[in-house]
Amino acid sequence: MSGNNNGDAPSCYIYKHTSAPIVPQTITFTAPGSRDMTQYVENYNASTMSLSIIGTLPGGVTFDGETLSASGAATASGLKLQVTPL
Amino acid sequence: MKRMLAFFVLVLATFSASAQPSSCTAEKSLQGRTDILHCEPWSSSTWWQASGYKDDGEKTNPSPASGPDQTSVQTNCFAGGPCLRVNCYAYNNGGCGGMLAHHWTIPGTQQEVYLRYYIRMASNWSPENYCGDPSCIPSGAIGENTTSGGKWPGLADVRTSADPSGQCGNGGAYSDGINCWSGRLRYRNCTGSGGADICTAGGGGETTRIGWYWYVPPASGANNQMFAAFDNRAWGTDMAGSGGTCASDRLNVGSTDSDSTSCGKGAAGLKNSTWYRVELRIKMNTPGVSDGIAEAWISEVSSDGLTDVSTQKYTKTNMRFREVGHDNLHVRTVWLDVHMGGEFNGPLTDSYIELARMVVATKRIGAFKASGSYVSQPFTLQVN
Repeated sequence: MSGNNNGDAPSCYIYKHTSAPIVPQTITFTAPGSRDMTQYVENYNASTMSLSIIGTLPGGVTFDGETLSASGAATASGLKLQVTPL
Repeated sequence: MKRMLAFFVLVLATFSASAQPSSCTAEKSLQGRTDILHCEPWSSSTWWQASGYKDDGEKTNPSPASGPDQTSVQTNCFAGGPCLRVNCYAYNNGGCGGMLAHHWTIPGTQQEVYLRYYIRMASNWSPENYCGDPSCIPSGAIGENTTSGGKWPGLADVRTSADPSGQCGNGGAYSDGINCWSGRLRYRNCTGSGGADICTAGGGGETTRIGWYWYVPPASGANNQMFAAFDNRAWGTDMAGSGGTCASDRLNVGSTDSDSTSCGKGAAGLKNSTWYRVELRIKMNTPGVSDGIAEAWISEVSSDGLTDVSTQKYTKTNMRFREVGHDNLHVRTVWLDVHMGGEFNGPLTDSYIELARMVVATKRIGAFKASGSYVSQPFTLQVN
């Protein structure tokens, strides 16, 4: 990555994120199935940010950093989606 | 009964409120996270007292840290906030090799820890700015003992002479995988074979290479006090094992001049007067098995301290930090070490480095963000 000391940002400074993910109050889908959570993050870029779920996912539900997947019926409330700027 | 319930609720609320240290308030991108163990903003002139730092790495009965007399808290030096200046005074100005050596004990028995901090070297910084040989004083010149470099903060589980095992994991007391391991950072100059500047591929102006400074088993010189660069340049790095690649042997901790076979990645070197974000990861190995993980990400930070994108600069997934029968080795302390050389007489001229926004967590930490919002509103998941 190239840089400089004159106050200008180098070209690799592509990440700028200031707004929280906007997730519907309820996410519903049918098992077995999945939901792409990146659609709720403005300007999502896998190389500059990572996503995580705050809260406990029920059994049979996994999150791989982008997608919620469920193998069977499940319910959970109070979950949050978090962006970490890498 | 109601009073007991109210007390229980109060205790629970207090615990919840303290789940993330109050010192993390300025870290907007960390809000809501439950994996954050420590934030050090260096905003207090008595910072080492506020968070329980220790004088050294003693495990048995560590002493509270005494004042680090070569440091000072600076205001408005990183992203509009504070930082810690660690002065490196010249040999004729009271200088010595070690400027800072405190430990912060990580709570719990953590098997995986991430450590993030920002670091900036002074405009006159040079890894060659020291005198390791009394004969160079007062007539010595920059360039003495130029490859030795020095140490910067990292992670560890070491022992001192006050512990039953005796000193282990520093000062030449090699790791046996039973009583200690350590992974500080080491810096050194950019000089390679024949005097070539091997940092020039970074864009020019680099003065300093960095990498891990390992004390890991076996307890021999093959894998202790060795430089494991955060770049792919082979010069000066350690490949003590067989097979010639990072993946082929746990003792191959260095580089080969190729990204594909090196533990270190990309171009070498850091520039003076520039902030860099350093994030380190240690995941302990299954005792006796080479399945531990060491990773490092480095990024150059924009002049306002607010924008940077990290780059993975080191990854090794066959590390061994501990053997069967070890003394509860885990990621036990943050070793806040700033040390020129090994032991020597001091820098030739005054200089300094600065540290900012240190965070310890059990998951990837990422960049410091003083503003913005990073957590959604609560939602319900309904899978039919």
